[in-house]
Formats: sequence, C-alpha cells, structure tokens
Amino acid sequence: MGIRVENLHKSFGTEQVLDGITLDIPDRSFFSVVAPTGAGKTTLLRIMAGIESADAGTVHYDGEEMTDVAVQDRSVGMVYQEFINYPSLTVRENLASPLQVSDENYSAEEIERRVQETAEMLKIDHILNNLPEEVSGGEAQRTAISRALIKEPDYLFMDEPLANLDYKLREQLRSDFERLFSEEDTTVIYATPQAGDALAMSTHIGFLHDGNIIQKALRDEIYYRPRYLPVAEYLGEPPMNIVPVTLVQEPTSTDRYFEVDDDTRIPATGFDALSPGETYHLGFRPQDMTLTENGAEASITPTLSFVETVGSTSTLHMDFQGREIYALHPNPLHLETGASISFALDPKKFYVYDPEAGDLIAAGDKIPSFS
Amino acid sequence: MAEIEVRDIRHVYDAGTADETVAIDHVDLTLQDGTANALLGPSGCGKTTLLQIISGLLQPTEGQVLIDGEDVTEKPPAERDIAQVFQFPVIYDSMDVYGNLAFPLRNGGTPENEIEERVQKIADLLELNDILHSSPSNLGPELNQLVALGRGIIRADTSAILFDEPMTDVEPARKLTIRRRVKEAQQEFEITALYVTHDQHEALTFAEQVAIMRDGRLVQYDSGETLYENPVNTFIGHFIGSPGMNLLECGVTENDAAPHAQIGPHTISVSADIHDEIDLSWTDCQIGIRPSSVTVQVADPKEDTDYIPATVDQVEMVGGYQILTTRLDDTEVEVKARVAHDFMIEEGASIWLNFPPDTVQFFHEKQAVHAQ
Repeated sequence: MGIRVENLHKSFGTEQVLDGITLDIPDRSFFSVVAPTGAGKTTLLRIMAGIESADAGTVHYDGEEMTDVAVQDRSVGMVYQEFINYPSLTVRENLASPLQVSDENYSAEEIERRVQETAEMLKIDHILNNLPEEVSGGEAQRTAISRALIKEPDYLFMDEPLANLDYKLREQLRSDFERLFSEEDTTVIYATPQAGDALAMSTHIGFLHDGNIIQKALRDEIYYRPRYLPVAEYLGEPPMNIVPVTLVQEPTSTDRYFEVDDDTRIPATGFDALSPGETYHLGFRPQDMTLTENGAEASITPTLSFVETVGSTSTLHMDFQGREIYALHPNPLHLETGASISFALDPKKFYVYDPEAGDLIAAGDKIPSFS
Repeated sequence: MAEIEVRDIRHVYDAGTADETVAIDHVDLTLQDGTANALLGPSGCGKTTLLQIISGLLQPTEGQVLIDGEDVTEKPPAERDIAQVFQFPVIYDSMDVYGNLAFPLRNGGTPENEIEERVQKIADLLELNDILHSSPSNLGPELNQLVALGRGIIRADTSAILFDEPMTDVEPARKLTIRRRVKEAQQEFEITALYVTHDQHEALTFAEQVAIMRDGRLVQYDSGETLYENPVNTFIGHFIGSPGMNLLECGVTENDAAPHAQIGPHTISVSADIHDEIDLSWTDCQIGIRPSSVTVQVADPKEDTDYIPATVDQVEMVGGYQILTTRLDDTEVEVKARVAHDFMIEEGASIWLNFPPDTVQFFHEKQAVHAQ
C-alpha cells in the first residue's frame, strides 16, 4: 500500500517548487519529508493527498493511479500544524464526525466503539465530554490526530503537527507516534523542518532540496550516510562540521593528511583512494570530536566562542579558520570563551565530499554502511 | 540596569465570577542586577501573567513589584524603563533598521552623534551592520527579532529586558545563531534579563538561573545544573532534561543493613549519603535517574548483580544521541537510557542496566530526599 509519485512538477507563478519529483514511499512506513521552511514540503504533501493538483506528473496508491481522484474519494487522513477541531462539538463529537458524514453508514455502536478505541490510543479518553477550548494544546492536537485516524485511513498525511506544541508535549508525542505507528497498518507521510523530529520518529526520510528529493533512505542510512552536503549539513543536532581541505602526501613517507592550512593537518589514514593535491570537503560529526589535553595529539584547535549546557550535554560553538563548527560533549563543561581547545579526530569517522558536486566520495571504516 | 523583585504576588482573573482563576499564587522572586534569568513552565502555568505584571501591562491582585528597591507596582509600563521583546517582532516598517534602532534615543532627544555611536555599538554586537539601511519588511523574522532586541537595549538607562517566547517565529536552522547573539548581547551589556519560554533548551542555554512555574506557583529557582542534578521534586525531575529523569515507583527494603529501592524482583542501591534519611516504613517512594547516568551493557554481566536485565522496546535519535526505551525484565517498568549516536542496537534486544548509586535520586511522596 505504498505511494509512488512520478515526475511531479509544480510552479506558483514563475517560482518552480517541485522539479520532477519521483519517489516511492514504502507501505506502512513512517516517511518524513525534511527541508527548511519554504522548500515545498507542504505542496508535495498536498499533491500526494489530492488536495492540490500538480502541473505534471502522476500519483499512485498501492499501484493504482490516483492523480485525478478527489481527496474525499481517497483513504487519507490529514493533520495540520494548526489544530483544526469543531469548537462547538465535544471531543467525542469531533471524533465521531468523520464517521457520521461518511458514506459507509456506520452504526451508532460501531461509531462509539471506534471513538473509544481511538481516544484510548491517543490518551484523550478522559476528555471526551469536554469542548476543544477546555483542553490543553496537546490534547487539542491529539483530538485532531484522532479525527484523522478514526476512519482508519490507509495513508495519513501530517504537516508539522507538533510545531505549535509545548516542548515537553512534543517530546512525549514524538515518542508516542513512533510507537503508535510502528504497530498500525497506516502509511504515514510527515513533513517537518525539524531534523530532530524526523530522526526520532521516522522509518524513512526524504530530503527535499531545490525542488527534488535528493536522498531518500532508511532513517539510519540517511543519517550515517548522507549522500550530499546539504543533507549532511541539515540532518543532525547540531549539524555535521564541514571543513575545506587539500589532501597532501609527504614525498618521503606514505603518511597522508587533510591540510586545512599551513599550520593544521588532520591525519587522512585509510583514505588511499583520494588523490594528493585535490581539494575536498571534510565532514565530521560534533559527537565524534574528542577533547584532548595533549596538544601533540590534537588534530584541530579551534577557538571557543560559546558554550551551551543543557542537562548533561554541552554544545561548544567554535570558530575554526573563520567557520563555525560545533562539538557535542556528554558532560557539562566549564570553559572560558576565547580559549583554544584541542580535539583529536578519528579518521575512521570522517566523511569526504566533493567540493563541487557535493556528493559523498569516501567515508571512514567506522561509519556504518548499508547495502 | 537594575535588580527586579516581585514580592508575594497573587493574581486572580475574573475575580468574584464563576470563571475565577488564580493565575499566580503567592510568588516571590528576585532577579539580581545584570543577570540572565528564565521563567520556564508548561502552557497555563502563569509565566506570561507574571511577565506582564513585571512589565506593568497588568496590575497584580496582590503583592508588589520593586525595581532597585523602589515600589513600581502602581507605575505604568512607560515609567519602568523595562524593554520587551515579544513573540513576534514589533518593528516600524516605515523606517530602516537604523531608524528603528535609533528611535528610542531620538524620542528622548539624544544628540545625533551619540545616537550614531550607540547604534554602531549595537549593530556590531548583533551583527546588523550589513542591513542598517535595509527596510525591515525585506528581512526575515529572525533579523527583525534582533532589531527589536537592539531597540530594546539601546538606551543606557534600560532597567531590564523581558523576552516573551522570542523564538516562536524563528526558522529551526537559524535558532542556534539567534540564541547566541541574544545571549552575547545580554552578557556584553550586563542587562538584567527575564526570558519566558516553555522550551527548556532555550531557558537553560540563555539563563544563569531558571525559575520553573507550575499551576501559578514557583516550584524551583536555581541554576540549570542544580535543576538537573538536584530537582526538588519529581515534577522538576521530569520537566528538566530531554527526555526527563526516569521516575520509577519503588518499595523500600533493607539489604546489608542499608535501605534499598525495590522494583519487582530487582534491588537497587541508593547513595550512602541518604541512607539515614530513608524510613523503611515509607510507601509512595520513587527513585529518579537521568537517562545519561544509566550504564548500558550488551554482554551478560553474569555474576555481577549490580546489573538489571532489560529488553529494548524503542530506539530514538534525540539531540545527537540515541535514547533507548527499555523494560526491566519481569516488570512493566520502563527505563530510558542514553547511548552514543553510533551505538548499534536493535529493538527487542536484551541488555543490562546499571544505576550508579551516586546518580540515583530518592523521592518520598514526590519530594526529593536530601542528605542532611
């Protein structure tokens, strides 16, 4: 029951939003479309759901062409950023309404059974007799989600449904969604600019960039093997560090280095396929930088501009050769702004990108691979 | 800059009607001169009401607001010299960025050469130099929010600055940069600041001291580190941290003459510092442990009884780490544990958990039990 879209094009006036998207969304997956605001995620979702039409291209559900089928004739549910509930109806009546207006002629018992079941699943069974204005934002959003789910649609489209919620509720719902949908038959298509939300919940992620899905993969695969620079720089909290380097090899030895400038050389052990003299973009994750006391071991020594400590985690914002880079440390750190901080880097955790095309051309041995 | 104090504030909406709601319930809070503070809590906790009472937009039902010891409770907002940055940037579209920044000074009759100096200083600090002569309508909400901030702090006699959920309209990818500039401005000018948010990440990164409110009451006012390490009750334990502290219902048993927490068949040691404070007759006890303090082992530790067997139910990637949701064997008790981002484990796998005693908090009737 997957979705296949082929060669979707969409422009608004002179602005091309979708530029020939072809994409397979696997059956029962939790598929997140990730991109910054304004990249066209909502448009893509609306076209897939049948709320908006494409300029060109086709949409298939489970092998059947749906391109021109109206949204009410599809088995879809929609959840938006704004919680849309009927203000004059109780939560119970809100949940029941999609079944009551449906052509399926549900019996009163069947409606009550489904309302109870869905409310329990979304943990709103204690507020069924309340009006939407009497419940919290999180409960109102769960009511909206329940309304979308109650018809047991084959496809559920969610457009930034957590954006307006309290931090703690978002955390809770993220966890609930992951669990809920891993047990349901529904295929979920979820649009978000939040890399963190997508990484927490999804089975699959597609990254939308310049009107195309430039990479689509299993959640782990796109995180560990971002195939292009824009994906690497977006899918991480904080994002992957990227530094322009030149590969150098000493004439008198086999040692290779990524040279940042005359003073900074980073070991390039294991990258035998790369060519000396060539320039690359070197990537490494903020979690993979190890603080070192010993200057001799140091691979890089950036200058600290700012530390953020939340709970047990410190995020170091640093200036390295005029670029902002980040390190993530699993314990609280108390360091002086302006200090030089040495890190050892493990070449086995490096990513090497082509500086022009932006594609991943090599990765260290410790980066998980996917066949 | 100034010290801001709220003294025994109580605020009731719709007093005497059927809709009467107590929004603030006897809150005392002192913001030291020049410090960065946050007011954090879930929706409806009263934080926005308290902010409006401090700025003067709202008169409290009871209690006083003092600026440097002077009672300003009756004074209108304009006489308090408190600047405010709102959820959505409030900017004059008819002026360029320079004009917006200069506005409060021009209003006060400051000479133009002084204005220029001051605008330049603010622009340097907030990195607005390139857009000084742009129209705000051409800039995104992030930059406009920085302009609003700059305008708020441009007068040297500003006594404090209040932020009300200022990141609401800021694109996720830009938040890091904006947070940093706001923080740097606060530090540079040593402005007394109060930042209202529901987002603990913003509160903890901005503030030296964070006040947490719930149901109109101030629950704890402490540094981020103290809130994290020593929550006064289970609410704070859960609320601070992402995910929050694991809070596990437990019984109390005696083992080798020391009180232990008992969860189903599993016995868990607690720090020796609090042994004397725990009463073996207690019921309604909880232990708390941070997901980052739980030690995870994938190989069977065999004879080592400090490890509890568990099963991995869920693996999530959160904030640069993986969070495992596990269930302790022979119980329905869930424990979350934090592991490295490249720790490879499948849902359904068996693992073993250790709770280092020094990292275990003990709660009785939801209140923290501390060493005397």
